[in-house]
Amino acid sequence: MSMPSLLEAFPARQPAFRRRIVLLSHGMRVLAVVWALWNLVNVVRSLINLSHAPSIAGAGHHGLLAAAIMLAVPSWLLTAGVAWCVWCLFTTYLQGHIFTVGAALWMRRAGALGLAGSLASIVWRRFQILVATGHIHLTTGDLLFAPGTIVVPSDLVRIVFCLYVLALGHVFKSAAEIADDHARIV
Amino acid sequence: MVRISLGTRTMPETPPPAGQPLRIGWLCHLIRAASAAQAAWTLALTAWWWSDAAAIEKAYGTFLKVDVSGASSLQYGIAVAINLCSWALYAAISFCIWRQFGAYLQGRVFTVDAAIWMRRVGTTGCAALIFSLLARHLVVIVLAFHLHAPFGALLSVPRWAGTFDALQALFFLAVIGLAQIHYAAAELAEDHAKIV
Repeated sequence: MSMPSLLEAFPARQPAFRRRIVLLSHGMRVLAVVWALWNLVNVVRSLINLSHAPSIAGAGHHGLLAAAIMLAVPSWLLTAGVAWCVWCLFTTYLQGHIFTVGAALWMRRAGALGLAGSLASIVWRRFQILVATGHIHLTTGDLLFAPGTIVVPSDLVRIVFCLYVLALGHVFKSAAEIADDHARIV
Repeated sequence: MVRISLGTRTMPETPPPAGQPLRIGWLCHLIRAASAAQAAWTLALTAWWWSDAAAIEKAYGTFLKVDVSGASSLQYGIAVAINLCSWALYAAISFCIWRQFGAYLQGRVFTVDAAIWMRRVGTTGCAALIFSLLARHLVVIVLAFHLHAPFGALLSVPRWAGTFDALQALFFLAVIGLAQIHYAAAELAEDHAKIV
């Protein structure tokens, strides 16, 4: 039975349930937007700092700045994609569709995009470090394999969080599909 | 039966029957193993780090500009105890994840107890984060106790919170929010199942 029809079965509990869901869902949606904007501010700040780096400002290698923007924008878009998925997930909840394949898919998308975003942010940070330390000609090999710290603890935590959400999405999707099959049989 | 539209197909929206095994048991086992490994790895790192007093003195001197070379073994003991408390809270998160995915393994996915374990992941995570923020300062105060430096000055030595902490706070708050919604919905579904 869906949440809307469950609520019809319990009219007395409708206001309390709605209150709990509505406030939380709106709160989570706002949190997702704030997170995306906060990341945007960080990206813009990093780009401004990078534009003042001697290898760009001093040597006039503006191609590097263009490359930085080309790396930073997709990296942030992945973050914005996570925020969008979280927004859609809680919108689905607001519509009363909680234990559904649709909601599980939004959760899984958030985890997958978050994972891609974590990997992109590692490459983006490498780029910033290498440019700030005077590397002018950068190759993909430099970005991925040049000596130095590639993965920091916060990357690992971010990856673990994304894997947790991804796993939850998988489990919920599988369970919703079983419910789907069960309902068809019944 | 209410039907909802999902793109090109429609499906009945029904909570799954409790006790039905999931097709992705391997994933649940993997997450449980990963959470246990994470707790063990963090403990091993803590033990490795605190077993080398010279490295600690060097790190505190270099990064925090605090000379802890004269700290007694009692001071080190208290610092280790504080860190172990912090580790215990993070290990409690692993335990909650273990129980949450244990419930899923038994086919109890959209249930009140699974939602409660998920909420515990979030609340324990928030508690662990708050304690770890305090522990950073406590450890500095304990290790620099013999220097008789002003309390306020020692409190301001490590940063109170950074981007890494904000990321953790956001994640744990999101988990609590998600769990609250699942809890409310599962409670209603279980009440309905009792009546039916």
